[in-house]
Amino acid sequence: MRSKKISLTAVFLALTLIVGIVEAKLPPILALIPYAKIGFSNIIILIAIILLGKIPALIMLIIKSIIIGIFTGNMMSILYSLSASTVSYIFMIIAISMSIFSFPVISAIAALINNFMQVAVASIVVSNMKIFYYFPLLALIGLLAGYIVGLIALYVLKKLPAKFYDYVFKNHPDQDN
Amino acid sequence: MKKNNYEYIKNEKLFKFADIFLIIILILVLSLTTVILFKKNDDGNKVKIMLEGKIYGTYDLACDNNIEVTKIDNNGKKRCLLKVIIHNKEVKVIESTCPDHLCEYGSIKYANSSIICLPNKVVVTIENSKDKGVLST
Repeated sequence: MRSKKISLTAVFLALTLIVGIVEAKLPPILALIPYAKIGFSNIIILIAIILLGKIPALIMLIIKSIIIGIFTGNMMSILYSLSASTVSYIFMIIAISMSIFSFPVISAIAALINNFMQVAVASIVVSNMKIFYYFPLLALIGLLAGYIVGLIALYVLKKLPAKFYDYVFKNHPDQDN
Repeated sequence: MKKNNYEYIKNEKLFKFADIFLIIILILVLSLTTVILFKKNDDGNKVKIMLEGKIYGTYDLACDNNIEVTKIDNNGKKRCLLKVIIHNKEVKVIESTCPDHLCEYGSIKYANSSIICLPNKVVVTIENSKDKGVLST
């Protein structure tokens, strides 16, 4: 990776961390399932997938899961979010390259897969299958949240000027690849 | 993905034809299961507390109770994880030692609903033990 891309990845990672930590500290949106979150920090991950590429986005995702777990003091959450986000990330990359579905819908399905993985890992950790009782409702909210996140990310990506894309991808004459 | 994704994003539509089927099927299936699961608000009569997959205790929902869920940690000391309060046929979790305190939001009163504290690995469920008796015979 070129140094420009590395520094841009760091900037984007800092952005996701700020949004993610602020969101973790906010009260839950639904009292019935306090685990449901919109996941605004994923907007920046989605933008990074398109703008920076697959590998920088994956690195961001992994570091984000670990650092948010440490900063919020919830070490167990690293386990859930790492496994869940990696699986949904792999799905997203495959779905984007197939380009059958639109970007917001891909994001919505990725959120659904993310929710399913988290519930599955949680049910293994507490060894209690009863957790799946809340899964349909959680998945419904996740679907909606993922769609909103994908829509915002696509909107931002469309509004970014072509110059910006050129800046990210163009090689500086002083640098070798 | 090509090297510069500007063209890809400019050509990307907000909505594609294949979206409709997938979204309709998913929303139908999920909302149907949600409605089926949450429609029958059976009254439960027992409160079951599970700690790390094992039954910690079963309590009567009808009588008010204040239960301390404790665990013996690595140093052999007894440590209080959280308190479960049964009051007016409603179950609530307070004073949890977990970092996120998500288990302290709201209370449960119907059968099959549960409060889950993931960091402490505690699951509090309301059960209808009469149903279970019918099933097991």
